[in-house]
Amino acid sequence: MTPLSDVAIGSTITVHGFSDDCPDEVRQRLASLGFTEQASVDKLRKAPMGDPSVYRVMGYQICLRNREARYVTCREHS
Amino acid sequence: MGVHLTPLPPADGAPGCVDWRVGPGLVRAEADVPPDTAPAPVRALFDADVLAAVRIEPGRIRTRFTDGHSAEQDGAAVRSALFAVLSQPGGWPAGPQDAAEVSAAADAEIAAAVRQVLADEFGAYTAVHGGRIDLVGVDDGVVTVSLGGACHGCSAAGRTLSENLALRLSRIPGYRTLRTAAAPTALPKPTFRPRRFRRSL
Amino acid sequence: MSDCCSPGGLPASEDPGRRHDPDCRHAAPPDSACPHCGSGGLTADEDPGRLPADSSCPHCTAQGETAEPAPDALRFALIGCPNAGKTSVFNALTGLRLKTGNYPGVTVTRTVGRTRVKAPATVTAGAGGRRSRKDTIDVYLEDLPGTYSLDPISPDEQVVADLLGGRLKGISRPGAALVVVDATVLERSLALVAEAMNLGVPVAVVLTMTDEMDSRGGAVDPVGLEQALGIPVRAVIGTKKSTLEPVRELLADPSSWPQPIVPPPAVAGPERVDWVRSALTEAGYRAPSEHSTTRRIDRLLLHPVWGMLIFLAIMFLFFQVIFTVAAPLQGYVEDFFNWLGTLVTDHVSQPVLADFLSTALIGGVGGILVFLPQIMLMFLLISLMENVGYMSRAAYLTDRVMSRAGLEGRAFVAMLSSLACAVPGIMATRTIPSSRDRIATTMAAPLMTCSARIPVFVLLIGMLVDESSRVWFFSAQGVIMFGLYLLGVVSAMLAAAVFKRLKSLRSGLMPFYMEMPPYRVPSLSNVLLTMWDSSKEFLAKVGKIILATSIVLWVLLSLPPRTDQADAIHEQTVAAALASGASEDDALAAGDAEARSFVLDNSYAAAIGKAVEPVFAPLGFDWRIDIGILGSFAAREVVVSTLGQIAAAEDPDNPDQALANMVHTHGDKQGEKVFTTPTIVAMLLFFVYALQCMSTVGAIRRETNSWKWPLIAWTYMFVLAWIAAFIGYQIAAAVS
Repeated sequence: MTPLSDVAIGSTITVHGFSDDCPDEVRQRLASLGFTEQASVDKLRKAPMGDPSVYRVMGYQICLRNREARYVTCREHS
Repeated sequence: MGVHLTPLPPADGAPGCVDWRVGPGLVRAEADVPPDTAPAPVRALFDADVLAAVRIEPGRIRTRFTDGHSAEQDGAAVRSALFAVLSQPGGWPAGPQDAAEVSAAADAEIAAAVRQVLADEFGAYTAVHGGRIDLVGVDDGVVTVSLGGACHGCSAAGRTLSENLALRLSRIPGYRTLRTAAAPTALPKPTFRPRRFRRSL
Repeated sequence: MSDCCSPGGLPASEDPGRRHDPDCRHAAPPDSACPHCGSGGLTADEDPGRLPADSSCPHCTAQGETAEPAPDALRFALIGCPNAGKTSVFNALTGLRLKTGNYPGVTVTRTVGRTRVKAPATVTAGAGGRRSRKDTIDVYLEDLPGTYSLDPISPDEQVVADLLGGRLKGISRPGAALVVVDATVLERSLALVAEAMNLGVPVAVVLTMTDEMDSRGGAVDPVGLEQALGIPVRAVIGTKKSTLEPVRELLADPSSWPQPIVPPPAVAGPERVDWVRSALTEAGYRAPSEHSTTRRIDRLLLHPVWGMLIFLAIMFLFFQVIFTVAAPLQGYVEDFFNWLGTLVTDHVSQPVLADFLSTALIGGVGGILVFLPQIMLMFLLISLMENVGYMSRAAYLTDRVMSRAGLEGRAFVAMLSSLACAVPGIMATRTIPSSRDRIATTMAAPLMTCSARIPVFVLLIGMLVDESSRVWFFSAQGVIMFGLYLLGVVSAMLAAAVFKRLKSLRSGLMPFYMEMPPYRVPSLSNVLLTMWDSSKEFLAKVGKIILATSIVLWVLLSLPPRTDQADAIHEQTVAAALASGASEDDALAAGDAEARSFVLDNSYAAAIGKAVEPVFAPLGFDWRIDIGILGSFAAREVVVSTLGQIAAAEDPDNPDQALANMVHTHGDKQGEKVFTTPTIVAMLLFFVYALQCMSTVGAIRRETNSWKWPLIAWTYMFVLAWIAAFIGYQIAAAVS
């Protein structure tokens, strides 16, 4: 179970859930943004200084900092 | 595949009722459901005196509220209860079931919906062009049709027709993809396939 | 009555001087806790949500409102995700905004617009069979901040949730809601639609970007979606006004909108996921493929190396455009007002009045309008970048740097804009979701080296070093200027970091997330409308303040006029000049300068300058510099003209020499030069840090909805300026 922040650029993963230390409001907001269980997420790129990263989820692109991406646990598949 | 629970006002105007449209294969019997044999979430609503009656049939569940309860106040609770039941493997419990039986029931409902579409919307079109489309069968959400008459010979027309048909059929819950039956002059297989809605039973 | 009541119905927040006499029937100040009183600084006409005035309520009578109930105005909440095209829909329906204020108690902007629609048949029938003459009605739209969910995770979002739930004091609940949905991200957006449908008011969906759906190979049937959701769905193309006609028809009568018999699942979970999927199926939804143009452009613009280089180039261009394009326009404005000023002096005989009109009024108004080309251009470029979709890319590239100061990428735009002028920069903080970040950025923005500081720096640097002196092969003057810029930027970042850590701003750490929308060709009318709205706001709010301070300054610097004595001095000087062989024009000029100098030296400002001299003495300033500093607290450039006036008075032929040769008139430095190197260094540092701009104070007050923050800003910057100037003076004195 890898945190989303550690996933390699260019890979596609399936969201498994959120880590236990994830604050409620972060979980709530990430879910509204499309990071729900079983959702497919592509990690597209990282900013020049390493943070944030751009992800594609539910048909659109969004950037998250590692601080938040860390809370999302995922299963790699491609 | 999802539950596809959609609440609708009763077509016949019966008071205090809600007709819940349900995904294919989830309800395989036609019956009035008495409180004591209702699955637990639904029985709880009977016990709480929210529901007066429940009637199931393939593709639809009708619930009737007791006096003093209504769709506005208690609709959400009924939805949750029905969802809880229907999202279990096999949907609404109907005696011992196996996956094959459930799948077959679903295919039957899909077939009925496809026939409706062919008759209503595509019947006129094909008649005008001197052709016909027949439903060959539905297997695990895969709909097979055969194009006959003029449609059979003209490959270009056949392609547009099957694309249009596939687009229209994609609205039917449970539909996965369209195949045209092999004909002497092979028609190109349509490749349209909705990715999201896979059966998961 | 006049002591305790305020005429003109100013709300208490804008009328802080109002005193309260409990015996006076009128005296109770309007209070945001009273459901009848408005809040957010909007009058009743502009605030259609306000509950009707009540004659028994002491607040309402004090406000000057009548006891008649306000007309039953239909008000629609406009809900939608950021980037969904909500603003386009709002603009297309309402044209210009009616008024912008704040929601009570928070720094969240409230935007209300009005539009006219054909009245539904029931209205025209009229009561008692009388045919009403009106066949159109006015409805109002309230553009809520863009959000991905109505479930709040911050105080700002809580305000919106309270508004929609009717829990907000002083503003009634909107009667219906329009959810603007981007068809290309329908799957994500339906969750927001579900939440809206659980509000208990009629809801309709406005589906945008359907043209983009087609070009990207996606498909959706609005009729199918309407059947699936059970509420009205209208597809529009935001840039084509004609497609909004069906939405206008909807606005006429929300009570006629269909609603599903049972609302969709209210909370996130498997039930709602299933509801979304089922709705997408029934609507024949086919997700669009990736926007290929965006992919190609992003490969370049977000490239780790090329992306950064292009970004820096664009930022550089941003400034070049502002200064090179705006500068000639500013020149025209300046010339025009100068001409207007001479017109006044030529035609108005009373000298004091003439001076007041030309210096205070025309000079004041001119002072505002001179900035307008620059401000409008800035708003235009920002609006363009936002609408094209580049703004989020810029924020993405700068987020790491900004987060070192405790801020985020979106604060970058605010800080960048402040390099031209802090006022638009502070207005730009509205895009930042966290109010804590907004305030920290607002407090730090004035430290960014703004364009008004440039004339001051140029003057002082000119006195400090020669034009020809060099540091390596760079011009010394240029190096110092660059150093001052850098100092401003670094100080601003540090200040932001400090403010973020303040206890009073502690409201929990907001998660950072930012959508990167596809690049879209912006609609010219939208861009211009946004630019015009922001500029109008700048003019209205800030203009008043600049004009007021211009008048106050004039009073301080030009009064008491001592006309008789001034005339006498004028005569003497002219006579003396003529006697020593000067031409008539030169003699008159000399006489004018002496007279003006006399008035200045005996003005109220001079009295204040002499009084505060001890405060600034450790910095090496004498009372004449203090007058300049005093004036510059209204607007920085004033110090240049004030010092110029003093210099011209001392030596009309060579004002620059005059400043350089100016000596202390009294005290222990009497006879020594005023503008020594340490003093100039101290002045430079003072101007880097002090908040010397009433417009900025006004902008901070407007954005934070209170006087507390502007006061804190002014005070901390004054202290910083004094300390920095002091240190600079001591070091420079020790070195030289």
